[in-house]
Amino acid sequence: MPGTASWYPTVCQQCPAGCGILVKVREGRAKKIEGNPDYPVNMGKTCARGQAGLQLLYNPDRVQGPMKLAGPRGSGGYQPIDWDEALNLVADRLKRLQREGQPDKFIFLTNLLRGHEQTLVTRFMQAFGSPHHFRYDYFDYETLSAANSLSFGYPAVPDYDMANTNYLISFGADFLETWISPVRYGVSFGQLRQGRPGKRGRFVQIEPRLSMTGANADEWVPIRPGREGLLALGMARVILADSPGLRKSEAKAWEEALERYDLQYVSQTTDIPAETISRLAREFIENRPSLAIAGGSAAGDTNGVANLVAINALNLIAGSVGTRGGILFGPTSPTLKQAKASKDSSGFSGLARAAGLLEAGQVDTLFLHRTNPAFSAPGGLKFADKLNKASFIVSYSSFLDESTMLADLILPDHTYLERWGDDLPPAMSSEVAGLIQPAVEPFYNTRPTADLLLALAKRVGGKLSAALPWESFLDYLKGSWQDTYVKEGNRSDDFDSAWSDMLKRGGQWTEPRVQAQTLKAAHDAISSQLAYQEPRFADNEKEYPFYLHLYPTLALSEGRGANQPWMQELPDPMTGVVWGSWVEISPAAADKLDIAEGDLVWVESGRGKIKLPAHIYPAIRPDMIAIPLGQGHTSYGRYAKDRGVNPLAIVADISQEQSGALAWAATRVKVYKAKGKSRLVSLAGTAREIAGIEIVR
Amino acid sequence: MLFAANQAPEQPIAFSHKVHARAHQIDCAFCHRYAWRSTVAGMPSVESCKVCHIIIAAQRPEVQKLMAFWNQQKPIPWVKVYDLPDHVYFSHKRHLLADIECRTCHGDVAGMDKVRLAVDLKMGWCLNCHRQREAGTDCWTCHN
Repeated sequence: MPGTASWYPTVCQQCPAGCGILVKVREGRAKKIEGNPDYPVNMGKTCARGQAGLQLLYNPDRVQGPMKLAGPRGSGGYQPIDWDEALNLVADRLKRLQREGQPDKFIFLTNLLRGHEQTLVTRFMQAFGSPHHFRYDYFDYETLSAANSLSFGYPAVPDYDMANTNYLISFGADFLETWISPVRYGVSFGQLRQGRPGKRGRFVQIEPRLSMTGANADEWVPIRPGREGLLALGMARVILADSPGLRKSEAKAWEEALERYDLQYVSQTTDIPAETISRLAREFIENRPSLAIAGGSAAGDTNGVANLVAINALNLIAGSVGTRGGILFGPTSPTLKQAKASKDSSGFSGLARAAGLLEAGQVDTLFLHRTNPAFSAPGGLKFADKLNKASFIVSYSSFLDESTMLADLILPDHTYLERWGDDLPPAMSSEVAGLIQPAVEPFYNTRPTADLLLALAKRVGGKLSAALPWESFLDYLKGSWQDTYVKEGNRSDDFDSAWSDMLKRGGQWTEPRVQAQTLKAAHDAISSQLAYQEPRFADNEKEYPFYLHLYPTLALSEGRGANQPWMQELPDPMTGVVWGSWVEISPAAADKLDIAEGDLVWVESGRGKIKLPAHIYPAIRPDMIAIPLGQGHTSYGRYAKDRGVNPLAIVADISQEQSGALAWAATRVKVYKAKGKSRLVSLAGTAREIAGIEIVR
Repeated sequence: MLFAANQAPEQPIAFSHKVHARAHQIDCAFCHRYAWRSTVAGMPSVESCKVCHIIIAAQRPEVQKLMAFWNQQKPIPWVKVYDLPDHVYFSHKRHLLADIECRTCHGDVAGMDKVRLAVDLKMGWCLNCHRQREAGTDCWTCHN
């Protein structure tokens, strides 16, 4: 009825966190997105990206129907094709691969799919006979999962009970902006500070460049990057020296393991005063429950896994594993076997394997779904060139992003506000299953990818068709939910009304319960994991004197938000810059290089150089520069194209041995002035630019 | 009396209320279906026009224009004549439930070929009636 709004619960898809949202719909149009107050992940809140989901739905640059390449690859010249013809084209290729006994020449590249879309793709791949489903998302927590596997036998991302802790120490985890589930941790952080009458939790941020999260801390410690694990080991040694009773049964093993991490060595290597280290150690143990979390450069260096294992050890020592105010483990985590399999097909190592297959000319048909590695993979991997070697590329993207620009066929998906699905958010300590439902009728000639896979299966026939017999994805989804419903002891004919209730709620979840979880974990062996390794770098220090700190932003993530103008005009919380890129350089370093605010500078690594405006940023180590991710698109629509610079272009494709994750922090750079000045558009005042006024030095 | 720049704007189709509402005696509520139930009165959907005009007067040029919209499944871009600014909250339902006749604010629409602004929709004019009927003259009644 016009004038009256309806609210549809669904799950946001703007980042892997998967917050529950409510979409306000009036006269068939989505008007506003708010958080779903009942959804356990985000408890009623959204972030800026969640709000901007409307700008994906109504984006003027959406691909409005199936398109076929009508020009050379990469030209961006496409013409409409009808669905039947398009599906037949793809089905014929798949049938041929089967006939020729080469189903493994079919590759499916997706993001970190979850829920029934993931299970459908897995069935498709298995029935077709290809092992090559690779899942790549810049936001993958491979390092953390690998560290947790070593520390606790839990190869996944846990839930952190930040709301109930007394002392939070974060080694580079940017939990208020993009780390794991920023809305969830934003709410938790609020409770840490103000949720308990009379108690205000303390928060220390250890990172080489002050992030927005760090700006909310009681104390910021600008550690030398890559040495976060060493700091943790130094702290552990101080703690156990003061209170050896904490690890009574393994006391000897711990003592031996931590022997060489004395204060002097640690202080010198981390560039943190010895008094600070011992004070932090004391505070951590005296204010229990305390919690240590890690991300950012702690995870991004070549020694990332070792760093995170050391930081996990702090939690173990403080008794914060599986307890209130500490690390909580989910009810279902992947088994170690699944984790190993996942490592080969997931994350950066998965992408590297895909790149290898492409390079060797072993890819006939490739599907691209919700991932854009031509933009978000490190330049050193040269993924766009390799992708171009596939004989036939089908993209299911709603937008002409960099990877899709190489597609031979575009079969556009519905946006998430127009389709069905479900989500199982990871990193939750209770069981949560969210439902994704259309808020509006699809208004372009797009089709949900999951339904296209079913249609393809029918056309290919044989085993594939038999394995995917459903008429529609909704049938598959609903049928599966019904099976679960019945398995839980309910009557099958009650399901329809239960389904309706679940759609109104946004899904199904159990109340979170914090129970002391005893883990049959490598507790004893952990002391043997505590070996500090120095980080290694792709470029030598002499020629490339600066550490390069890259960070995804609150507004643009790693780049996926650049086609949403609300996110472009959202001033960066620390610098105030809008609609552009910048490189942060400390005042001391800027002085030495004779760089002033807004000057164009070259940032060069062993892989190439980029030119962008400098922003004087006092809250960063003088031996480091920082560049936000997100801009530098060469396609992806009018708001994103040809704007700013993508720093990933100069990053080396070095991965961490133990996790396979990209060691993005292993790239070093040199910085020098370029000709010209650029207009750095910022919401922040220009006080520093007014002659003579120095506010912060 | 001229009180708006364009009191009787050109519409995409020369729809005549005189023909429909007076000659054929179609009630206001038949097309403006939501006036009693919602804050907005609602324009009739193209489908509700098509229901008759797929047969009735199908050969007339204006009707053919209408059916073209239906065939393309596109809404007709009517130009709104009675339009209040965004800072005003007006609920049709509220006013109809108070037994106010359509003609009170909209004039003799059934007598118009082309819809014309019959009343100068100034705040003072609204306040007069609100005062007479003791309907609330607080700011937040209409400016929330």
